[in-house]
Amino acid sequence: MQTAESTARWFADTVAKCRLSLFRVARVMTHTDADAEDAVSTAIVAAWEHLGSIRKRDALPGYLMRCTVNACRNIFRQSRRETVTGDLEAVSPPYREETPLWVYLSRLPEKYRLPIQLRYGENFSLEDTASILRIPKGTVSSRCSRGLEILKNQLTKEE
Amino acid sequence: MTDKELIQRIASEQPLPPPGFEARQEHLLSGLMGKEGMKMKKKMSAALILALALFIALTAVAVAEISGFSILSFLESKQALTPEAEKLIQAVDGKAETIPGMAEASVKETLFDGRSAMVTLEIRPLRDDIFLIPDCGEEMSIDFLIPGAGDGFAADYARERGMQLYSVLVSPADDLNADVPYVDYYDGRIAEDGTLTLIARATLNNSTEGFDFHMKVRLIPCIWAANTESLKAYYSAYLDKEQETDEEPTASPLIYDFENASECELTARLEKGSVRWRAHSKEEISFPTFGVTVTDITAEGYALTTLLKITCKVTDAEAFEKTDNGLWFNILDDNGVSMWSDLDNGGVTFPDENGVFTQTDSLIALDTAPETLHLHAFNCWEKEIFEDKTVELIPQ
Repeated sequence: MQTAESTARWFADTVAKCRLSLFRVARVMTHTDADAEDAVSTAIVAAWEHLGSIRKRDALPGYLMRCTVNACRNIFRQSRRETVTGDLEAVSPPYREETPLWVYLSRLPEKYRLPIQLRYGENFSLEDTASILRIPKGTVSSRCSRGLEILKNQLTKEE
Repeated sequence: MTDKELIQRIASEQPLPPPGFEARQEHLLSGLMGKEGMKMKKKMSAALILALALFIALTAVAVAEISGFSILSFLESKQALTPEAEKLIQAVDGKAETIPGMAEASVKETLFDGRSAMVTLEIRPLRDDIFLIPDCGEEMSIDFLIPGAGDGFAADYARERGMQLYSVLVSPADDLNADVPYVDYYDGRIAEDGTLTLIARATLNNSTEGFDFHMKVRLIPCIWAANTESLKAYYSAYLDKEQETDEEPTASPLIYDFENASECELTARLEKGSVRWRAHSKEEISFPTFGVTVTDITAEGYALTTLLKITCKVTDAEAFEKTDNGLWFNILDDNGVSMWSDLDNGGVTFPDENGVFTQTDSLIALDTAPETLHLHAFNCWEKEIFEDKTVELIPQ
């Protein structure tokens, strides 16, 4: 039987362990520190609110990540900002103090950059990535492959 | 470079959070868990519910009865409509398509203003134990989906009644369809018999006179952590084998079981309403704070909306760079009130090789072409730097 105190401690420990990961995924989606931080905060609050229905402790990181992705999409819709990332050549670098790899990753269309960030940046399994993004595993695989290919081509040109 | 090397670089070249991130998150946590924080939690809970509702509806629409939920009621809650507006909404007696044993789906209404398409769909469950919700709706307030249903989330409502939850996802049937990239907006209500009425909106890449909107309606089972048997089956079929154990299988509260999703396809013909007036800007106008000159503005008046296209050229690269591509123009009326409409998300392109970029937007509908527009330029990231100019328009 978990006490309220131990549950709170477990929640706080889990959040502390994965909040950088949440931030990085939010940043790759929103492109700004401020929006990414807002998304992480929203996700943490959402997870806390639903803590009673999370029955397996190791499910919490995935749930937090799903909440973060939802929060980022919410921010996008509210900000009325359209990301036009299809034409890589037309995009000017949006970041400061970042490696070429991160810049190119950030410019990939979301359907590629988000699975790549979750799979390879945050080391989520194929299944967890599919669950977080609510897309089939095969789609995750194909998007990661295609995204890596684009990324590799861009980096090869740059370097 | 091999894939392995690239993946290693992705893992190692990750950005750092801004200064103070950890401290702010700690503060949030202690606020959630402390005594004072419990009050905060309640406050934030309301905010969260609202945010989740906004995620689908953007603004809460108070609808007393499901029968009154339509594109018109939805639009009326957002803006004053011109007398011709109602004519643009087409009632459709669409053929119902069946998802065997699950539901029937049909198109009831359409609206197309040249760039934004709206479609009202009815999805009627064929069994009493099926509970249909809009995509991402499991954490919405049930009172929002079923006015008067009381407190709690939609997912809990279904669980308490022993019903199987299905998330209804509407998307373009053809992923490669260049005209309709995705459905970007939902609003939904659930009737007493469980029929889900959905208003889906898609924003087209290019303006067109009319098109056939081919939609795919998918019912995705949401599996509960509490449902041991279904979760075991899910694990066997979908997740790692190592997760098959004799222990109570639990996971995140809801799992979207895509592999057991069922679907049907619907098509609706959408015709563009006629243009009532056109106007364009009289002269270029400079915004030196942002290093940009507005070279042209075109406006088209429709019964439901005013489509606006602002063409800009970067004239001071250094000043523009400081905006981090965050320059946005709000359009204000003579009283300083924003004229943005919720019909269209709008968008800003990044500058091309000549420094030219465009902003497109939908404004509220206007009976006649305005003589002037007030442009309020701001940085959408910082929201602290502004520049205001007025531009004259010439009717065409």
